[in-house]
Amino acid sequence: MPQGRDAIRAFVTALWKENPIFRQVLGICSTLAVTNLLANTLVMVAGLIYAAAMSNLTMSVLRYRIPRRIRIMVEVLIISFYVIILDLVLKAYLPETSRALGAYVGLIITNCILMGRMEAFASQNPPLPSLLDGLGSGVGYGFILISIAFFREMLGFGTLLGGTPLAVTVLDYSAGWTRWVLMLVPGGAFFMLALVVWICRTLWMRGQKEPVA
Amino acid sequence: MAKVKVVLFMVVSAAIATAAMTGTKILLGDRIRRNERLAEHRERLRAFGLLEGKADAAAIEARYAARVREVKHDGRTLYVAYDDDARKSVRAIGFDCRGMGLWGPIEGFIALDAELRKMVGFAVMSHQETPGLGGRMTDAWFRDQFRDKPVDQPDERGRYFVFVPETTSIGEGGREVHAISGATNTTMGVAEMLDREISRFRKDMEGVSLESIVGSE
Repeated sequence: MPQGRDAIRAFVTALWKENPIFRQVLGICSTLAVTNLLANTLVMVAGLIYAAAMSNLTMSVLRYRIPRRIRIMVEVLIISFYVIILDLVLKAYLPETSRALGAYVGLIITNCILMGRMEAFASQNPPLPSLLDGLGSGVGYGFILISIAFFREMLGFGTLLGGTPLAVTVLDYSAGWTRWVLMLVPGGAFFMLALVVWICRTLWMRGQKEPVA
Repeated sequence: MAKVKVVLFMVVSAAIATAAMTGTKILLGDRIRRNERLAEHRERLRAFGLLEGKADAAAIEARYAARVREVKHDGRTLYVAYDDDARKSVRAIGFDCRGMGLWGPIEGFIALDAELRKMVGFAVMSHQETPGLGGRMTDAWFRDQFRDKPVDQPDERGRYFVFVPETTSIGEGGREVHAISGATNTTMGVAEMLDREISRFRKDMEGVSLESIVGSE
């Protein structure tokens, strides 16, 4: 059972203790770009969880076979493979979502979290912990992005899940609410990101036995 | 020998990945092409005001086949929409247009009434703008606000539409339409495309009768 325990520990560590956004500051480009609409964010998060988990698993399975000097090239190849497959599946089965996200699906390839976790964890650990590390990183990235998107869409557009059949108007500007246009542009995401990182790091530090610099 | 092994490993890995991606593309290719054609037909029908709300693929294709005719005129494809399935009364004439957004080309579709005096609708077929910002030009509120706007005469600055902030209330019948908040360059790209393409189309159609267009194959 030790491997099972290791795997669970890897998941929790990636999710919280080594969270890619507020601990490692990875994946910031997409955090700024896609979080002004909750629906787009959810699809981006799902795509990243899938790509991170599968890339980590593949890297871990092949870790003794990949020549060390070309491992970065192989990592890019593995990530590209899974992201291109995801792009094709979205175009075939969720064409509207694929149209809405445009180039962002392809840009998952450049997300630092994927290569960072493959290099730091999957290349040195067995498949099950690596798979769960990828899942944990994806979920850890996801909950931060969803928190940011929730407030950006609500304050910027006054809606939640806008553009989908589940759209809800939360703040009606015709009833006097003024939209925060700042929240719609990437600059607004910086403020939200800083707030979320501050809150999460404060909570994280409370869980530490010794003070952290 | 070690170098050869490394090169061989990379070549074989790339070949396996490429084969798997190509296989997936072949497997899903028909469905992807069908989705693209369906999206194109749905957007044209919406621009013509022949489709409201959601409709399934079969209904969209059936309506498109019954109500829209593609004709070649003077080297370009025009789309003639009819009010009825018998194709007796022409509802609108549509044409493809192209402009530049912030990040890349915008491909659109403009539908004018048979007298070319009024906008019937507008649709964005493809774009590379930022999702959630410029990408909102595909939203219904943006697309539908051009319906019934007059295009018989541009203003003194050559504009058919005057873009105002999203929160400004606008009256009916005028040129004013809402811009996209946070996407000024995209809005300007759309405005420039609409002004240029409508002006050019109206000029090209001067002296051309509706019958000669409808009669074209």
